[in-house]
Amino acid sequence: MSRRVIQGMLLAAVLLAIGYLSQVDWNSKIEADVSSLIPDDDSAETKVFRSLISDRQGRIVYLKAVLGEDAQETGDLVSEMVVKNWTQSPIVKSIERYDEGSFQGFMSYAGKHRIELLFPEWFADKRLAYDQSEGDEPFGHWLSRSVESDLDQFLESPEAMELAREGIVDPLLLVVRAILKLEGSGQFEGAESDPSKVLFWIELSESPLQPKTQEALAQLVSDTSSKLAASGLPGQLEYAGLARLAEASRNRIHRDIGKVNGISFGLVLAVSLLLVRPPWRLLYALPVMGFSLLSGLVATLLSFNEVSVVVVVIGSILIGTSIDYAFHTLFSDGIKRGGTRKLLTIACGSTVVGFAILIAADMPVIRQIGVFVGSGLVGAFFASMALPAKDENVARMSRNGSGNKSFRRIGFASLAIWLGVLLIGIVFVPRIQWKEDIRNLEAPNPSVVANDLSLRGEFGANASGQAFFAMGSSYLEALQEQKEFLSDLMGSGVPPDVFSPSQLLPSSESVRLVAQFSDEIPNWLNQVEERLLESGYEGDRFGRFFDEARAFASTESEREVEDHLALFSERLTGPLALAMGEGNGEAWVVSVLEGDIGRVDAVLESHPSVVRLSQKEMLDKSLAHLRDGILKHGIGGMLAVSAVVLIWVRPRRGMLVLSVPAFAVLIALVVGMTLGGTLNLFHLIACLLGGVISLDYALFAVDALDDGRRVPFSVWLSGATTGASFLALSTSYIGGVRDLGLTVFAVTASSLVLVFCLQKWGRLNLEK
Amino acid sequence: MMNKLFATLALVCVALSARSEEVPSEVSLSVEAAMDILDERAQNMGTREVRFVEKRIFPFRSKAATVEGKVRLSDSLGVSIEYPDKDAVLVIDDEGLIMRRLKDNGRVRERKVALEDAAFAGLMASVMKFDREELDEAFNISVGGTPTDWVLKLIPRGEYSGKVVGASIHADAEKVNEVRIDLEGSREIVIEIIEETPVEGFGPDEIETYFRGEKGG
Repeated sequence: MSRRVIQGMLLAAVLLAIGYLSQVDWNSKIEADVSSLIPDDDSAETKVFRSLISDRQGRIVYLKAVLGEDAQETGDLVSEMVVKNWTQSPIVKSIERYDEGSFQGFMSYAGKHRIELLFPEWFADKRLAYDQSEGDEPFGHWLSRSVESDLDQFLESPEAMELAREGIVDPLLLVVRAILKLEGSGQFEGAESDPSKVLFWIELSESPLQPKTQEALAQLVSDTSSKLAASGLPGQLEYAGLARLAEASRNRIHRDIGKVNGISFGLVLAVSLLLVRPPWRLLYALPVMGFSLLSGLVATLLSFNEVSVVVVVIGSILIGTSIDYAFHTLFSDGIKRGGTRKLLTIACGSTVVGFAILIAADMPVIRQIGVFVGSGLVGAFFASMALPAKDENVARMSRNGSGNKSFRRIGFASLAIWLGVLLIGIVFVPRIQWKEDIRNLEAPNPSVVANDLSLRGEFGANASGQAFFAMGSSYLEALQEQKEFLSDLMGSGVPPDVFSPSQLLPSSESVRLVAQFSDEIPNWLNQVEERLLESGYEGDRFGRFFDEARAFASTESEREVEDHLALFSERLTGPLALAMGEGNGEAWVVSVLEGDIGRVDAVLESHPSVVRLSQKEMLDKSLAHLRDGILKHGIGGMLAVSAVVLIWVRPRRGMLVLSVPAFAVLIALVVGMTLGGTLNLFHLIACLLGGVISLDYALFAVDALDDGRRVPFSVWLSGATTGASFLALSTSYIGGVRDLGLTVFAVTASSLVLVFCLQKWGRLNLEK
Repeated sequence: MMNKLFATLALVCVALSARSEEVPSEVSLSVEAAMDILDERAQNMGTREVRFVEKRIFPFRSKAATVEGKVRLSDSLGVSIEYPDKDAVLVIDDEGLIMRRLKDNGRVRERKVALEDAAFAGLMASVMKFDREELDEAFNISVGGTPTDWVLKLIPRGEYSGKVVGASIHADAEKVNEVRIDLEGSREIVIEIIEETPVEGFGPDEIETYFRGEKGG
């Protein structure tokens, strides 16, 4: 195919690509959140995590209005204006003022439906205590004594004067027990009482991860501030939540893209101008780079509904690698006529094979990187075919008459390097420690994160303790799972500082227990009521409660209790709203455990429906899982690449070619471990990437050396520009991008050093 | 909430008991005189412990619930109320009110007890310092009985927080004997003063257990 035909086809492709890109909605296509980092699997962890960030919990906004000195008088006015303003916004589903009352406000529903929500678990607990007492006292008698004792003890407690009032107290202390359990766990403090501020609990109607929601939210805060000021009211507004964090992260990453790309482009240009003579020949490389980026971008946007902004940042590496193809075409002096295209085909083929491995990953962001870089390099390869190849001219320029001599001791050189690889490998590989940290992938703005934690704290969220999510097809099932998990973990004596809804709310088992004793319970409750009357408790006050409890026990159904649980869950506000929820047909409840829970890992293994979940831990595990997958596939892919190289360039040369990336990657890993102490996913990706890049250098270098020529200038130029480009990544805010940049730089630099040594060695060992 | 009120009135009670011997028996007691006594007592308040019995009366129970306790008072640390049988301590100081519970597992759980509104917080502070102006503002105060057996009655002005309907302090010529607090919902607290003992100060362990910080006893 002639160059003109290729050029025409490329032009048509460029026009099509530009046409496509011009109609892309960039705000909805480019995502800056962590959801693309979650594996596409069906595990309980993934379900919970997706639910947390995409369902109700992720849509919460914490808003604070800081008042001035006359807070007492202005608090209500500010509150009224904020609520009115926000209620009108289409992105706001609900807003409520959050204060001390809100903390116990959720109990109003529980108070009204205390029997359906709290009686079954109370009864199950009493039944268990009775069984453990092993006495021969009839249960009704035992229960009467127990209830009387509970009431007496409560009325003597310091909390009695707060809680022993109408609406809260009942003869079985169902609501009192719930409040004391919640407060005793210490996991959920109420909102701080502070008249100098007003807090609002807001639920968004739109996804917090959408930039348009984030922008509308910021605008709403700004508009409300202006209205407050115009009305002469104080009210400096601060807000937090996932939407705010995601927005800050996106903004910072956007700035990072500009900075890293700018530095990268500047360095590549500076290095090229310094080395290329005449400098204008560099202009040939621009279409290759441009077409490469265009190919990567279009292929990725077409392949995925949303593309992570992290992919675009990493895509900037294409600037460094795609220019290599132009350089190899333009400056491959020392390569035989027609050899450049063949070598580039091998180089491109092996690189694409390397990146194709990533497409098999179960994390969207990694698949996107695979498609972006792979298609970008294929684009660069085709674009480079439209350039005039240097080898066409160089073939006539045999260097110093050494063109027909070959690298005599190539086998020895190869063996020496492989021995070096083996030696370093034996010493170093067992010392490798992998450690993943999701923060490597984020560009958090420290002040926004600090503000978020601080504001959540003012709403009473307690960050201590470990959260465990129990999943089930219904709330009753999820509560049952939680109960069984805690029971296995701690035996029957669950420490009092555990927060667990299953200690209060009915599980499928406790509901069944009530159903099992539905005939006897009314009779037992009669005995309790009589006992309380005899002990001086007045019948009129508690009579209605006992009537309702007896009726419930006789007619209770799982469906009725489940419905009450769902309604109760919807009414939870503040930090408690994170205690239970449902999404994707699954319900989950959270228990929070503090202190030493040493054997939890073993217990978790036997409870697949319970997961320990912190966002960080979940994502760290995802990254580690991904790294293991890439390592496994990567080794397989590299073996395939090696086989291709050995066959295509013959084993003798092939072994030497392969020794260069093997050696360079190992050196880079040693550097990475030395600098950071541990390695991570990004070191691994960098090694794959650096490996295929240095393989290109080795292909061209060995081809030339084995023909008795000097290493082509394109290798040095490519190495210098690629190294500079990746060095630019080390200025990123994102830790993973920094690791990636430095590692690829280390691979590139060490491969060039090795090629340089080979050239020296080769010149000394040419066949006479 | 009632604990805060109780603490307030316990403080008043202790203040009165400390100076009640100074009430001149031959002169009838006016509100002003009673308030002067409290005021003067507040100025000279020393470090002390007071043992008491608290009776709680509820509308749904014919007999009162009874519990014993001990109040610790310090100028710098505030007021601490201990219920030894319940492993519970209430601390009331400039920073508000906290409740500490010793749990079954040996750990101590501490939580803030929310103040219902700023007016009550202000009143708490006023009583801690015995801010006579504030107290006058919050309550209608009257005195009844004879100089040897008198009652200081406090009726909240307007809508008072903490669901307090009224309070009274019963004293004789020697000491304050009883504080009664009437609450919404026909509930009542009766505090009988058993014994008051001046102390030199509180040791570091006592401060850690019964007060908020290490400000010195």
